Parts: sequence; structure tokens; C-alpha cells
Amino acid sequence: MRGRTVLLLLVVGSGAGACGGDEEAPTGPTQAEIVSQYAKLVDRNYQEVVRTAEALDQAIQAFVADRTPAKLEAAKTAWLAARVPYGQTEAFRFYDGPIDDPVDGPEGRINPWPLDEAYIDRVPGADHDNNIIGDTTVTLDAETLGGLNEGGEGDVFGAGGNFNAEASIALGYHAIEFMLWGQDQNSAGPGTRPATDFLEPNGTLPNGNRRAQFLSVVSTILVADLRSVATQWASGGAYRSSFEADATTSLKKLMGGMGILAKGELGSERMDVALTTKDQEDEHSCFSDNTHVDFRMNMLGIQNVYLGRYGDLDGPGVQDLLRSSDAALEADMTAHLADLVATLDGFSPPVDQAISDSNSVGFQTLSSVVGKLYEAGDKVAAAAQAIGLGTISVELPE
Amino acid sequence: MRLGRISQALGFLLLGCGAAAGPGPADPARYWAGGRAGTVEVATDGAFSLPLPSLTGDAERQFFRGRALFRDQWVTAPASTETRDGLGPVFNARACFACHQKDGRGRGPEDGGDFVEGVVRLSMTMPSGEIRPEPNYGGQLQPSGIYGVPGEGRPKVHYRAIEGTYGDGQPYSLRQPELVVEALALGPLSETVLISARVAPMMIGLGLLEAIPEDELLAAADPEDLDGDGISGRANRVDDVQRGASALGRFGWKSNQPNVAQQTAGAFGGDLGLTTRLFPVGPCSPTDEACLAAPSGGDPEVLDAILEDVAFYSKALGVPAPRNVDDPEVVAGERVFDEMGCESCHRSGWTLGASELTQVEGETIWPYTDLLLHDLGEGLADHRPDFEANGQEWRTAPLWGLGLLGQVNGHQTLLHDGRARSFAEAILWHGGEGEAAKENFRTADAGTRAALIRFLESL
Repeated sequence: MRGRTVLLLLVVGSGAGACGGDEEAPTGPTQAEIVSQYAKLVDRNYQEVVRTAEALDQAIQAFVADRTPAKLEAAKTAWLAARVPYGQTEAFRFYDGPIDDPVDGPEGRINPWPLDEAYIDRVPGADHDNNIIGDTTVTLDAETLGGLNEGGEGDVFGAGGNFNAEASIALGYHAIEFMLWGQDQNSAGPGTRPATDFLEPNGTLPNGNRRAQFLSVVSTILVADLRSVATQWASGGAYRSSFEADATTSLKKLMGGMGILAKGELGSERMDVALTTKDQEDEHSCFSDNTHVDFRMNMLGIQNVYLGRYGDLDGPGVQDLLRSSDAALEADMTAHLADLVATLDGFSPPVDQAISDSNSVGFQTLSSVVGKLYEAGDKVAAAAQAIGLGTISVELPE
Repeated sequence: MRLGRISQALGFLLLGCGAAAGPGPADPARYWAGGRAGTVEVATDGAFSLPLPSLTGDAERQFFRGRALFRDQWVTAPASTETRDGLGPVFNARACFACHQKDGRGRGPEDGGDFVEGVVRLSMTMPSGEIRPEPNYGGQLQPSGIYGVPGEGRPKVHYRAIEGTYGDGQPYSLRQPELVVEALALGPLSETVLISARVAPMMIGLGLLEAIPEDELLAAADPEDLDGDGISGRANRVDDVQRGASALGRFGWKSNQPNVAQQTAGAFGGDLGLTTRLFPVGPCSPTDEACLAAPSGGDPEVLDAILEDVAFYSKALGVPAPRNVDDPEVVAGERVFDEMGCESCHRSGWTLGASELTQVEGETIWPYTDLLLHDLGEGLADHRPDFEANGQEWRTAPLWGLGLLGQVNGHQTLLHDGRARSFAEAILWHGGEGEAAKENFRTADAGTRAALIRFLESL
């Protein structure tokens, strides 16, 4: 063990020398190159997020202006498209970056879960107006709705930040999803909210105009929040500049983000809890039955960071740095992540059917994926050690 | 109290192992505050949130599931996520994590502020001596409600300054809280109501405290103070709901819960308004029609699997290692802690017995508590009995991890209601059985007092 430690120190030493630019030919990319490529792919990914969210917003505003079934379907299609790039960006969380900065990170407004449906709108079993849409004293604008939203998953409760017990989860992708699909009362498919829920008069639910107004405002807020994150990662953006200035610290952050998403967030919170409760709707995109895509995109996001890739943008990634430190671990990790991506790609949706039947093939598949995601998190920590970053936590946002 | 210190002498023998030169800690073993299997060597703002380092496999998976459920918000019934609904209808918080932020400790409010990072307990003592909930508001005030159901009232704290002077003439000021409940939704509180405000306690090391053998705790008790040292130490006897029997109390500010599982179920019920197998009745007052009319989230609202995961999480949080254990001032402070008599109740050095966390069995831990009830005098009294605890008695609070409180939770408020703003204020509030130790501190010179504080900061 002692000999190995010395070897690692030597590797770190040569890496640090290479950053200065006066070394012999490096055997792999520098930490700074990995971090720079990461910033590029984060930027590209968030640009795609903003583009698809703007397309979603256009479709929603078109539906609000003309509330036909065809325009509702178009908005749903746009929502599904927007989730593809967003899911991949979740690998950029868990290190207090722009998305989940403890002071002003908007994650709790963008993607909070579980949604408090009866707090937002009337639902079967709570057919009354004690909710945001039904309560006509509530002004449906961005400021008011922002004050009524308390982001989920705990990440919004920074040290010393008082929680607001009067607010619940009312914003973000899943609030829009709830508006577009309605509750999933259908064990064989997604929710089936009719466009007529948004009509007034002669709608299928009271407050059709307020429902449309709520949808419109929440969509506008989502676009603005996503733009604010993307701006900080754009070339010359404030966060990106500071991120690239300290390669070693940033490398630890980005690897911590990969590991935490794999282990604590995707593996545990999003999959293992559902497998334990066996609740058909204990899944993130429960209204649209799109949770399998959430899983795939989270996993793809982890692999993206590892490979230094997003879409057709490709460059040096953690993989390349690891290869020059520990080729065996690199080969193992490359195969492990590829296997997870392939397994989730091959998984037959919907998730809600799989998690409610522990004898199903889908349940068994997801259960084995949880174990492999835990291993993936631990491999990320081992990779950070091998690269010479020391101990990183893949358990918690620090 | 009986002598509990196990390794004072041994400590000096062990000193050569770690320290190169100079004074070492009075007892180097104290570095492993949670034992080898239960100590996390992390001092960041996430230091209270890490699992016992020895967790693996299914236990590790259960811990992380519990962590997710501890942090996620609960939602109004009926919701699509049936396993996550049933919040309230009246409640203190929507998530465990709201008060136990970063698995740490709730903050005492500023003057005039709402008492939010904790709970306000209510009860009545009948002429027969029987303890009952407040007839309208129940056993706990729930300040918030789901949409359309008003919260029961807003607890506010005002402070009155109490001036004092150290033995060397240096003045200090304590703040005596007075709690007022405003905006009462169901009419006035009973004139004879007993009120006790209690901040959310730290979550670390609970599974270790659960594994201290009962006979060891009882052996440390000295209810009649037979050894005449002015320290009694009484065990609380409380209801074990699962077993339908009386049991030793270990958890809660008055040792009013026998184990972590029941404490967890109690918190789901009282704080979040969620029913469990152990506590199947919701939080609504019999006169609160809006509350009673609200839909239920199931029977019970919290699945057994979720209750078990959250309870396991609560048991499996590791204890951060102390820092600066070799620092000469810290070492001096450790000796002062003992000499002043703090150790009489804030006892270190317990050897663990049987536990579902088998890897901790036989470990020695350093929680600085005896889990027993002690009379702390009129100044701290809430005058509210809790099982066999009287209105002046409190459980000795564990001290481990408190040195990281500022870093993790961004405050330094201490004691059951967060009235103390520093270690020194917390010590100065001690009366009753703690009076002699408090006086030792108050009359000590500034250097000795500073050393003691440095020791507490190292925990």
C-alpha cells in the first residue's frame, strides 16, 4: 500500500508540472484540459436545455391562446423533448454550482419532487377550491407563485436558511407535467387530462382560465430559471470562469457530482426507494410515465462527464485522465458505465408497472441497476483517488 | 452518580502511540468518539450526515433510502405518489430535514421570532396526577396546515435579559425566554396548560446510544443520591408502544422515548401529521372541523417500509471525530471538564452491548451523556412532567459533535429551547444538580474557562 501511495504522488507531481507547460510530453490530458472540456459540454447541454424549454414555452403559450386537444398534444410532445437534455444536466449538480447553489440555486424551482398536486389544483378526492388555482385571492404571477414554492429534496435548505412551512412544491417541470397530463389514474398508461379542463366557461373543471394562467406562468418561470443557469456556464460566464481557474478543485467537484448522482440520487432516491415502497407512482415523471427517460438521461449524463462528451461535442474526459493513472480501473469503469447505459436503454417502460410487481423482469432489472449504480459511485471515488485527488465524497453534497 | 470514567489512567499509558512530543489528550481514545465503527473523520458542513463508516451492502442501501425519505417533502393527500401523501392536515414541517437541517440541531429564535425549528409540547396535569394532552390542541402545537386548514397558532419567543457576573468580575448576560402563542385557531389554551418548547436535536450517533446496555445506565443512576455527591440521576420509565410495556427512556429532551423507531414514529405523527403503525391517530383536534374533514393519506399514511428506512437512517448516522485533541489548551480543558464535575452527568466512555448494528458491539463511545434525568433547577424548568420526569428534570444532553454546530448549522444556540447563545451561556444556565459544576465554572479564572470552552469546541 505504501508503495502505491508514493507512486500516486509522483503522478500528481508530473501532472502539476505539465500544467505549467514546461514538462516532457505528457502521457495524457492535464486536469485543466478536462475541466475546460467539462465546462464546454455543460455549456452545450444547458444551451440545449434552454432551447427545448423555449420550444415548450412556445407550445404552452400557443395552447393557452387556443385550448384545443391538438395544441395540448403539441405541448406534451415538447415537454417530453425538453426532458431529454435536462436529465443529462443532473450530473452537474451536488457541488453548489449554479443549479444548486445554497443561496440562489434554482434547482428547487426547476425540478422539485414530489409535486404537491392537491396544493396546486383540485384532484379527485379533494374536489374543492382550497388550492392555488381554486383560490381566487392568489394572484397568478411569477412573484406570487415563486413565494408559494418550496423546492423539494432538501437541497434548498442551506445552512441557516429557514424553511417556509407555508409553501410547498408548485413549480418546475413536474408542475407543468401535472397540468398537461393530469393525475395518472390509469394503471396501464399516463394521465389523460382533457384540453377542456382549461376551458371557461363550459370546461370539464372549474377555473379553466386560472388553470391556463397557472400553466403559462409556471412555464415562463421555468425558462427564466434555466436561462439564469445557462448564462453562468456560457463562455465568459461568471461561474465558468471561476470554475476553470482552479482545475484540481473543480475536478473534485465534477467527479463528486457524477458519484452522488449515481449513488445517492439516481440509485437510492429515485430507484431504490420506489423499489422498496412498490408504489406505482413513486416515480419522478409519474403523470406522463416518462420516468424511464429520466433514468436513461441521468445515466447518460454521468457517462457524458466521464467521456468528455455531449452529443457530437467530444474531447478529453475523466476517462482519459484515469487511463494514464490506472489503466485497469479505467477499463473497468468504462465497461461498467457502458453496461449501465445499455441496461437502462434496454429497459422496457413503463417504470410504474415494474416497481409495483417485485416478480417482474423490470423490477429485477432495476434492482440490479441500483446495486451497479452504488458500485459506479464507489468507482468514481476510487478513480478520484487514482488520479491523485484524494478522498472525495460520493455520498453527499458537501 | 457512580464513577463511570474508565480510562483516565490508561490514557497516559497510551499517549506515546500517536503524539510525537508535548502533551497529548488526557485520553487519546476519545478521538474515536463513536468507536472505530461509528466515527467519521470529516469536519465539513456535512459532518453530521454521513453513515457509520462500517455500513455496507443492504445496510448501506437502507441508509441512503432513509436519507432520501428524511429529506423529501411530504405532500397533501390525495396525491399520485400515494406513499408520500398525508401531510398534516396540521403540522410543524413538511420534511424531517426542515428542522433537523443537515441532520443537525434546530436554531433558537431571535427575540420576537417564531419558534419554528422545533416543537411546542402541551399537556395538563389532572388533580389525580394523570398527564393528559391539552383538550383542544392535543399534545403538540402544529403551527401550519395544508391549504384550507389553518395552523393551530404561532409560537413566538420573547427574551428577558438576566445579568450576571463571573467570579473575576466580568459581566455576562443570559436571555430568559417567554413563549407566547399568537393567532390561536381553536380558541384560548386551557388556563392550566403546561407548555414546553424544544428545538430539534442532533441526529448523530443515535444507534450507538441505543446500544448502551440498559443495566449499565441503571447502574449509573443514583435516584436517592446515596453517594451524597449532590448528583442523583434518575431513569425515566416510558411507554414502549410496540411491546405494550413500560421501558427505560433514552431519547428526547426528557428521555421520553424508549428507542429510535418509536421516536421516529412519534415525530412523523406529531411533527408532520403522518400516521404510522405505532401511532395510528392523526393530529386533528376534536373541535377542528376543517382538519377532520381533510382526506387521509392512507392507513397508515407512512408505510412500514418507510418508517423502518427512516428509523434505520436515524440510527446509522456516524459521529464526527473530535478535532485538535492534542492541542495543549484542549487537553487542559478536558481535565477541567472532569475536575469541575461536568463528567458526573456528561459521562464519556460507554462500552456498547448488543445492537442490530452488530459492527458497533463492544465499541467504546464518547457521547458525554448518561441519558438520565437530572434536576437542573428553576431557571431551566418547564414545570411540565413527562412520564416520570418532573418539571425541573432534563435528560443529560449528549455533547458529541457540538463543536461543529456552527459550521454545520450556522448557529450556536444550545439547551432544550435554544436560549443559550454559546457554550458559556449553556453552562451558566445549569442549576440544581448542575449548580456546583456551574459555580466551578463561573468562579474559575478566565484562562480556565477558555480552556473548557476549547475542549467543548473540539467535540
